[in-house]
Amino acid sequence: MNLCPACGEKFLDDEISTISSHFYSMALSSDPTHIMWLNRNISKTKMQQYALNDKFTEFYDFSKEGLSMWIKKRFVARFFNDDPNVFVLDMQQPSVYTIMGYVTEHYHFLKQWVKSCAYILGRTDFSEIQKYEFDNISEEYFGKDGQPAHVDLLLQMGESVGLKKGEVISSVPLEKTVRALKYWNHVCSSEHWLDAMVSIHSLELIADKNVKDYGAKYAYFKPEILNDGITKEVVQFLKAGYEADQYHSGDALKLIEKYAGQLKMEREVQSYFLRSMDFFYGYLEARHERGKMYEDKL
Amino acid sequence: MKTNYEGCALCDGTWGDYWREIEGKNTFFCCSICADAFENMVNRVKKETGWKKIDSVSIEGNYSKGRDCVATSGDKRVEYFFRHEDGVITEFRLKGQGTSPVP
Ligand SMILES: [Zn+2]
Ligand SMILES: [Zn+2]
Repeated sequence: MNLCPACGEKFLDDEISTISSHFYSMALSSDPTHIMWLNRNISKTKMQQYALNDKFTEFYDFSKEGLSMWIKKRFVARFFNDDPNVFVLDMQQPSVYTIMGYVTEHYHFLKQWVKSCAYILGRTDFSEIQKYEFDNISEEYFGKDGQPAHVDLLLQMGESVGLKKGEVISSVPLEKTVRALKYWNHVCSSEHWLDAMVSIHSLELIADKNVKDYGAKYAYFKPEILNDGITKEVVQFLKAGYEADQYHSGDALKLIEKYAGQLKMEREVQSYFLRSMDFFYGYLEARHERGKMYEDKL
Repeated sequence: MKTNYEGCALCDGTWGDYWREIEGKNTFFCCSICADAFENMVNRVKKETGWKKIDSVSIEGNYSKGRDCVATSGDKRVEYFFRHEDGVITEFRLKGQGTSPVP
C-alpha cells in the first residue's frame, strides 16, 4: 500500500512508478496541489514521465542513510532551509505575540496529541510501542521527573506573557490548525498504527537540538534565549521541549525504522510522513497568524 | 503585458497548462491558483495606482517569503510587495508607503 503525499489518494501497491505516474497525470491536468508539491519537492521544471520517475526514485531512496535519517533530512529541508517556515522565523526573535500565538494554537495541538498517542497505544500489539506512547501521554498530563505536566508548562508560559488560561482553553483553533488536527485524528484512529506513529512523532523534530547536523540553516530558536528569555516560564517551556522532544523523536524514529523494516512498510511510512509534514507546515503558519491577531488587537 | 518569467507568470514553474487572459494577453500559468493570485495582484495594483493599464510586471520571491514586484505603465513605475493564499491577496504594500494588510 502507499498513498499520494499531496492528495492522500491510496494506491494498492508501493511502486514508485505508481506514484510518479499519478503526479505526472495530475500535473498534465494543471492540478494546483500536485504542481505545488512537485515545485517544492522535485523540480519546478516540467519533465518527461520517465525522468520524473527517476526523480521520485531518488527522492524516496533512503538506502544510504537509513529511514530515520531520511526523515530527519527531509524535515529539515522543509522547515529549516534558506526559506524557513514563517513561525520558525518568528521564533528567531520571538515577541510576546509570537508566544501568545504559540500557546493558543498549541493548546489545541496538545489535546489532539494525547488522543493520537492513545489511539496508537490502543491499536498496536507491540508492548515497546505501548510503553513509548504511555510515557508520552503521562508526560503531557502528569509531567516527568517531578516536572509539571507539559500542558501546564504551556499554559504557564501563556500566563507569563499576559494570556489568561481561560482564554486559551475556551479559544477556537484557527482553520489551518483545525485542518491539521482533523487529519491527525483520522490517521491515528483509522490508519495503521505505524503510519500514525510516523505522522505524529516525526513532528517532534521541530525542536530537535541537532537539526544543524542534518543540514538546517536555522534552529527552532537560538539557545541564548534559554539564558535570556522573555519570561522564566517561556524559558522553562522551551527547555522542557528542547530536552524532551529531541529524546522523543530520536527514540520514535528508531522504533519507526525498526518496525517499518519488519512489517515491510517503509515506502508507505515515507509517504505518510511527507503528508503529515505538510499539515504541520500549515499548523505552524496558524501559530504565526494567531500571533498577528494578538498583535493587532493589543 | 510583459512579465519576467518564461514559465508560469507567477511562480515560473513549467508544469501544468493553464491559460488566462491578463491585460489583453493570453498568459501561461501552471495552475488556476497562480492565475488567480496574479490576476488579483494586477487588479490591486490598478486600484492602488489608478492606472488604466499595466505594461509590465516583474516578480521576485515565492509563497513563503512573499513577492517583491515592479510594475510599469507608460513612464510610470511602482514597487510593491504582496502575499497570497490560495490565490487571494493576504498582504499588499506599496513600497515606501507603509503596510496595508487586507482586512
Ligand atoms: Zn495525489
Ligand atoms: Zn505557478
